[in-house]
Amino acid sequence: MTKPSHPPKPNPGTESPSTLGRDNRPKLEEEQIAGSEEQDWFAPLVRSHSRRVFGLLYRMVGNAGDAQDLTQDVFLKAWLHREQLRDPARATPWLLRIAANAAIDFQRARLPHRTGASLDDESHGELRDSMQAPGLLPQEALLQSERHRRLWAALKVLSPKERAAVVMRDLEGVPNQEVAAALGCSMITVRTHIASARIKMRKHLLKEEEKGK
Amino acid sequence: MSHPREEWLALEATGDLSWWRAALLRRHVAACADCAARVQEYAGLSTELRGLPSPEPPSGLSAQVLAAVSLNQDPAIPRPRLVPAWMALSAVAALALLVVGVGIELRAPIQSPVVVRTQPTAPEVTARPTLETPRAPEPSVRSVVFTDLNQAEAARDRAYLKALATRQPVSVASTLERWTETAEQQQKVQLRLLAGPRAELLRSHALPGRVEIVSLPGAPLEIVSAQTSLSEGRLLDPAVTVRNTGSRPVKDFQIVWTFRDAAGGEYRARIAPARRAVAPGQQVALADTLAFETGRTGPEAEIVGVRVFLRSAEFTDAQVWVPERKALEARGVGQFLPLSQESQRLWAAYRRSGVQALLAELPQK
Repeated sequence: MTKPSHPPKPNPGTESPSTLGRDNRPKLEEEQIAGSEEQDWFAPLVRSHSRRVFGLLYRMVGNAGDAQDLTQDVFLKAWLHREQLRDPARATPWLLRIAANAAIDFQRARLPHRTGASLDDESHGELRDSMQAPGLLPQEALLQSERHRRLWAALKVLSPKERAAVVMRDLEGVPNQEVAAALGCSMITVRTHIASARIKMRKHLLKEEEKGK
Repeated sequence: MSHPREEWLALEATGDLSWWRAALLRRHVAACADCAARVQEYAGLSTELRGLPSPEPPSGLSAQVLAAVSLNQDPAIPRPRLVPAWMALSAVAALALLVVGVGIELRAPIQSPVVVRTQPTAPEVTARPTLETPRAPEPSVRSVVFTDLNQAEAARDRAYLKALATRQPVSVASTLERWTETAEQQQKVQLRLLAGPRAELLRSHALPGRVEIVSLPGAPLEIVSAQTSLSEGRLLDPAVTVRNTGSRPVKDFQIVWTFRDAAGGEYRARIAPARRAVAPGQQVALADTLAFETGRTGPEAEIVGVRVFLRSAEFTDAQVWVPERKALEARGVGQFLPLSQESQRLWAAYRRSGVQALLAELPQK
């Protein structure tokens, strides 16, 4: 097994670069971070995976603000527990596992009415509208948008673990073995979650179509 | 005709069924139009889900994450040795010899705020593997050449623990245990950089939080005011104003913020290096645009108290002031400082061989 090339954890008392000072507000520039030898290994990992982690989290929690906060949390957890990553080639499933667990914990911590609201909130609508396929006629775009809205709403009826399984498997194309590793369960349990999720979603969509008639 | 279980149909749609169940199912589906249609329906659902548009992450997300990571470096974890242990220990031993060699006067434990001289670079030493038990420079030395703040704090803590060992030997272990436990809990506190409309929303709902300024005797800088605001269990945008009340110009200083939640836990929020000079009589205002949070939710996560104190001040003449450990403990903020390497070494001795080994590391003379 290859040893990770990442450097050791920091020295006591040297906590962080300065962000104090009214004239020296935190710069969200990469130069600020690049100064640390410690993070030379971590920065490329963040850059190459932040989009995917954000995407997974967005699909699991259903709103951009929470997904953005959780993305920070995921990489912070990854940073604090970086010694767990023994093989850098396994960074993707490792990060997806942290992300899936963060999203499940987040959803469980939220009251049911808050979780429900988040999937229909304004930021979700804005993102959905901005993501419609180019080249569609207005009417086609409207139909597609409506179908997407229903799919998002159907995802909402799933339990956190079912949603995690179906998002990773169907939306992200993660193999079952890695979904099982991410969720800390067997592949049989993953298949049970996926089957149950699809059945619930289909029923929900049928009910919605009935209502629409 | 009996139909297969719905779960089989849902899994067959994407080839997730085990081969023998799939074989049974396909034989049935070939003769059952309803089940064939259902499999197609599930396959269509899976395809549609895969086609859901991928959201664009907010611009600057990677940079924001990296900045948050850089603010959350855990100071309580020591850097693993980069040189062989014998070489490092020999160097410390040689430094101890050198210090003794230049005739520095040994006195009683330091009772006043510790001021140690720093040098731009570490003194060059030759390894002399003649000392059997090398350890950090003795804290009872009135004036010792140190290279940085960590060494100053290590010496101060050693002096404190040594004095404690003389009076109450048993409480040395419990003191170290309390410091260690608090240092371990620090990993749970996270800093989040606030940006974008969400940050504005949080700020618009924030209420001013009361900050208790912990004054420490002998400090060359006085914290004259401190403000922060609180919103949804987060501490936002802490700001302080400090004044140099002494006669010596200060080159840099560090501020420590702590917060207490409704569950009664108190945590260090941040040690903020100012990177600002303060001339005698001058007043300097500093502000962070950050949020602190524990990652917990619910009523218990609500922040009910915030404290701020001065960790250190570095003078322009290369001396460092650190507060007396006794004063830090009396005010209940000592445990929020990073565990010095000296304290870690002593704690390791205690864990390895018990209280006698710990006391042996702290000679009572």
